[in-house]
Amino acid sequence: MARVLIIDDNKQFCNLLSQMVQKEGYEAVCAYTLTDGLRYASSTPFDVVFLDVILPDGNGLDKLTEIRNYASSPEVIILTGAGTVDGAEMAIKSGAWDYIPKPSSISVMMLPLIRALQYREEKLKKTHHPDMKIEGIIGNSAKMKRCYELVAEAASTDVNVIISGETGTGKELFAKAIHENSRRAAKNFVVVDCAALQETLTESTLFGYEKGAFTGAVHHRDGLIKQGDSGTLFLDEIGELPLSIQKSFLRVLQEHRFRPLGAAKEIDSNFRLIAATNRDLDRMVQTGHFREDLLFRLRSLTIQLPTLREHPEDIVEIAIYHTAKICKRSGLEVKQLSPDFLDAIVSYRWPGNVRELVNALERAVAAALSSPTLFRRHLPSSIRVQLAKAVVGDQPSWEKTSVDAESKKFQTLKELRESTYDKVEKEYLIDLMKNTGGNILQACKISDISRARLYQLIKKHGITISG
Amino acid sequence: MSLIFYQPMESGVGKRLRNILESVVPKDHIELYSTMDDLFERFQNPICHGKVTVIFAATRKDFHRILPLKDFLSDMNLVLILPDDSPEMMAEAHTLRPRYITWADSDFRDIEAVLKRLMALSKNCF
Repeated sequence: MARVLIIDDNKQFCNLLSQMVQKEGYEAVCAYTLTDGLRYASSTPFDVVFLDVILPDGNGLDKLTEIRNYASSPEVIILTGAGTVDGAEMAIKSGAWDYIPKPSSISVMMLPLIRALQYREEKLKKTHHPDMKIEGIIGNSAKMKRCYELVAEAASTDVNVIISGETGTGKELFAKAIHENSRRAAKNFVVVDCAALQETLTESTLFGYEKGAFTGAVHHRDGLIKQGDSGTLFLDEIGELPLSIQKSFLRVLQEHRFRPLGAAKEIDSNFRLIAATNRDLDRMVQTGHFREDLLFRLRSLTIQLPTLREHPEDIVEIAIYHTAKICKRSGLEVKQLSPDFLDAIVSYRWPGNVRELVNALERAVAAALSSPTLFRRHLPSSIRVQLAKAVVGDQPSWEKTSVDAESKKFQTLKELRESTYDKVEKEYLIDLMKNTGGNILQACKISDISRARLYQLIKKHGITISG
Repeated sequence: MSLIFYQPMESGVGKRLRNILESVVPKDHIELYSTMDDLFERFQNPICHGKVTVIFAATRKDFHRILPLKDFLSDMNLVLILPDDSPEMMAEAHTLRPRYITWADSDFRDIEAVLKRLMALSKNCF
């Protein structure tokens, strides 16, 4: 039986709505404050939540994402007497199922409820599909599960998809997963890296050209749009697409026909479009750097990928997977992760997201050499320094230095930071030289510092090289 | 910050390509590999995901020899230089998820422009 939570401070309205919900054969629970509502939603799986905006202890819209991220990922229907266009837009962007202005009759509220429950039933059927390929994407957090649901939804249709997220969140892997689970999987998945191409090159690369169309066009070439025929065209970093190309691409997107450079006739391409960006395209529209009509076309389905710091519960699983992958590739026994290593990777903020984590694991595996276990000291020094700085910054300085203060001059925060940095740097260099057996070339490669700088640091810390 | 360059055989075209690479990246920052074994060994060592990698396949045979490295190459910022643009070759090339594809008969000015951008984008690579 479907379970419905109603969060609204109007007791009479709650009771009427819950009676109607129960009459339809569903279970209903009422909460009259946001706090009570969140407590129910976090502890009990609900299928749908009716959420009022203005509540005595807060704004319901502020908690919409949190509710969507609970384990049961309920659909949320926003109810408000203070409906505004902005509020509606924010609600829908944050993943609300619908937005109903009050006052509306109770019966009007039942239609979105029934539709949400039907959608949920279909969605659960799709997401429980055991064969869905999500190669290289790791994580079981509620945020990642929500993304997998959207991948399944995108794969089952041919609508345009836009994937947004910070650098390193895995936008391309998600695009590939949509393609591989779609009916187009046997055809090309064509990557267009808009950030790597200049305006003129973007045009010739996308549209293709006839021989002699421009200087250097010595042969006819099909463009990437044509190569994506029957398959998927993935426009990575679409925010970098020049405005002039945006205009011509919009037409291609509408008609699936275009004229290669220097060609007399138009040609067809039945591609499916997935675009990705780390830019705020709405803001770019406002500043005139991105076409609103193109953004509108792209937004049939949006997948917002979380940053790694937004789903830290997945870090350990990601680290275990990639450590095994790196070790296997390098012909090494799979290394274990020590508690201090796990503690460090979970504490770090990973501004470069999963890609930064994977690169840190690459370096840690290299630094550990024959050691069967990765320890904190195997992490790149830049990360360890950040962690050390965070510890110094997080704890009151009197706690950190109270013992030392009695025996020596009290340090300034700057001095403490510098000495902590020096200590970590020295420890890293000692490990590095020990692990490389004093091989300077290898040490330079692992540490990514020049030979001159390495010698300088060895001298500074008085480290003896033994080989 | 270095770049990986695989060129199975030194040729006039290969030399021209190398000159272009050296105009973008200092010579001692180009890791040059001319055999599949050496390239494979390179991928067994620590590598930055997103590192710029240029593969010059002058012949179909050269191209088919790199396909087993698909899992490694698709993690890189890959630039492919192919011998031809037959549909079969292009379909196989796209499985490597390259950031840019050009052909051996190009003047490589396109490569120069693309590499400048890719190198700037991968500046955080070790």
